[in-house]
This record gives sequence, C-alpha cells and structure tokens, in this order.
Amino acid sequence: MFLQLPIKTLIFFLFASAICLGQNDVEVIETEDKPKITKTFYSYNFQYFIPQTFGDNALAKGTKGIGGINLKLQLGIYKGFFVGGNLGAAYLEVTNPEIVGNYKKSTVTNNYLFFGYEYYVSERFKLGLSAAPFAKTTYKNKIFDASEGRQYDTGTFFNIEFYADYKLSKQLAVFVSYTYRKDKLNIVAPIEDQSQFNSSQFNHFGIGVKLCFGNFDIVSAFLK
Amino acid sequence: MGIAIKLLKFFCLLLLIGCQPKEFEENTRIRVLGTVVNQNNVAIENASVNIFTDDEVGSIIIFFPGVPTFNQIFNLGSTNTNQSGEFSIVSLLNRSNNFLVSVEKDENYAPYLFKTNVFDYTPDNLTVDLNTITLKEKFSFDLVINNQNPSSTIAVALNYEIPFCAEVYEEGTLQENLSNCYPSQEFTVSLQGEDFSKSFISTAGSSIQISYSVNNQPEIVETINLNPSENVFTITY
Repeated sequence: MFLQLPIKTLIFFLFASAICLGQNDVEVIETEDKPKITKTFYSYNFQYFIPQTFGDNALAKGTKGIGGINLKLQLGIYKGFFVGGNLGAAYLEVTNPEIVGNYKKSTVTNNYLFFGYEYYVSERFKLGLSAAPFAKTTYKNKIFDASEGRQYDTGTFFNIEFYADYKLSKQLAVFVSYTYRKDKLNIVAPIEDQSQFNSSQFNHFGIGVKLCFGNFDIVSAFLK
Repeated sequence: MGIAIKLLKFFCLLLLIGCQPKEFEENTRIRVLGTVVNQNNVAIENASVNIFTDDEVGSIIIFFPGVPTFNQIFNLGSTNTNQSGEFSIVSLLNRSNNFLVSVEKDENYAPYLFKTNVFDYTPDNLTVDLNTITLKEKFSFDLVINNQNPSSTIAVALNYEIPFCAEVYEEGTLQENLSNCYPSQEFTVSLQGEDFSKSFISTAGSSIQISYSVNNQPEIVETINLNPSENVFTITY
C-alpha cells in the first residue's frame, strides 16, 4: 500500500507541472496560426468506467464490478506520442463470498504511469492507444459485520487502453474507452485454490471528458 | 500531572479503538471444509456452517487493571452443506486465539462448535479440515415417579448425554481436556411420599443410566438406549 506513494507523488508532480507549463503556453497559442489539426499539449481526463472481472479466477467468479473513476493527466511529447499519470479506483461488490472470502466490497486502486500514441483521424476525431506496463495495486476489502473490518490484497498489474476522442470545442472533448487490465496477485491460498488467486483480469468500459490545453507538444516547444 | 497524562493516553486510545477497523491477515485465504452426518452416519443436508473470529481489544487494562476487555466478533464465512453433507468455504484469516466454526442443522439436532488458535499457528496447506462432524438428533424423555405410599422414600440419580459438542484443537491436535463433546450430565432427586415428573433432552441412540433406591434398599441400576418408542421412564415407590 505504501509503495504506491511514490507513484502518487509522481502523478501529482505531473499534474502540478502541467498547470505551470500550461500557463506559459497561452502566449504561444495566441501568436501561432491555428493548425488544421489541433494538437493537445496536455489534458485532464475525467473518466467513469464499468469494471468487468472475467476469466478463470476467483475474483471473476466471486465479484461484480459496480463502477470506477479515473483522473488522468496526459502530456503530449512529440507528434502524437504522449505520457501521463492516472489516479483512480474500481469498486467491486462480492457476489459469492464462499469463493473470495466473506467481505462485502472491494476498492481496487488504479494508479499508474502510462505512455501511448494517438492518431488524428480528422480535426475533431482521434484514436489513441496507451499502455501501463507495470503498476502496483491494492485491493481494500471491506467487511461490514457487527464490527467493521478490513483486509488488503496486493499485487501488480499492466493495462492497455484504447480510446476514441471527439472534440466538441478547442478545449473540450468527450471520449469512450476500453481498457484491458491484468493483475498478478500476491495472495497465498491452499495449493488446490492457489491458481484461482494468482491473477485477475478486467475489462474497463469507460466514458469521460477531456479538458485540453495547448496546441503543441513538449519537443516542439523546446525546438521553438 | 501523571494522572492527566494517563487520562490523555486513555482517550487517545479510545479514539484509536473507535476509528481503526480491524485488519485481517493480508494476502491470505484459507479453506474450511468437512462433512456433516447424523448419529447413523447419514449425511445431513442444509446444515448451516458459520466461521467466526474475534478481536480482543485489551489495551485498556494497561490503564485500568480489572476492567474486562471486550471483543469484536466477525463472521468470516457462511455456507450450507450439500446433499452429501459436505461443505467447503474460502475464508479470510484473522490472527486470533479464537477461530471458531459452528455447525447447526435445526432445533432437532445438537449443535457443534470447533475452536482453534491461529494467533501464531498457520494450518497446514492453509486448510482447516474438520473431517466428519456428527450432529446427533435430539430426543426428549420424561422421568415420571409415582408414589403409592406416603411414608416411602426414593433417591434417584440419572445420567444422560447433553446434546452439544465443542471441540478444541491446538496446532491440528484435539485437546480432549479442553473439549466437551456430548458430555454426560447427572440429575439427582430425593422424594418422600410425593409424585414427580421432569422432561429431559438428550441424544438419539445414547444410553441413559438411571439408578434408584427405595427406602434405602440396595440401589437398582437400569440402562436404556434412547429411541422414539421408549422415552418415558416410570418408577413407582
């Protein structure tokens, strides 16, 4: 759980840096001619998603996704390539406690750094692909009984996200996304059950809005 | 000054106790399994199995010796037995002195309780196997004593099995001295010139030993096996 603090700190730093850099970029926008395809220097993405567990594992058999939120910062690096950080969580409801253990709900952290590439199909429409090759996660399992209890499971994960953006205005876009996420869990269980607790898999079906700032990327800014 | 600091510590502790939820062993699952049968070794379906644990909040006694500790009780899992009387359930692990599994059918069967200590003991292969649990059927019987001579006396002693079984295990080994499985109970009564009747609840197929002495004569001992057709014992003196 505490190992995630550096990632959170780094993502926070990225957010803070973007705000500072964004302030400088206003003048650049004003002095440049508007390109036919407007690039985005950075964007804040607010995403709601439905997590769907699947596969031959205990989590898929014993839980159901009830929702999730992400706050994402995406920074344009060069010609459609970007990096970013994501803070978020998915919420699961336990449907079969005989399989996963007798807790009611689980909050799955979704904090990671990512990189990717986006392709401008038209001035308003673009497609993107991003990946987070390695991130740590914590499942906070909540027990509501006569007394409240908690239990934590930890692990690592990677994800791949595909999205389609549509720009409503220069600074506002909406998007839909699909994310595949695979977790490697640190849970120990009886030998007969271990394979069920080694991993979990998710589909995330998301929608969201993007607040976009700037019409250049970092490399272009330095070259100028 | 010292008392003020102690009070401050106490209230800080209360705050901690009140706000901090119990945390169970992280990244751990165990399996609890077994088979439930009746006294005739016939599988019992739909018996209710519950796993309990508790968390003793005992730090207060540092400040107030003699104040009893209180426990938070958690249900770590619930299930029912299948047609074969089997159950198997995944549970979280709480490092507690009290890891309890209760097995109950209904009011017609004796309940069973399993207790072990997992505070510093991890079950082999993270599996708590209760093997075969016998829930004996409860049978009631009546003791009826009729008096025919007001000057006669009678002393009666009755030994019967109580419908309850609690077994305590330490590191996978049954602790018979700490367990109490279908214990024997003695009931005694002495009468002079009066009638008496009382109902008892015991277990099907168990032996009931009744010994009585009329007018201080030599004791008569009878042993019977409890069954539905023989559940009234009448003594006349």
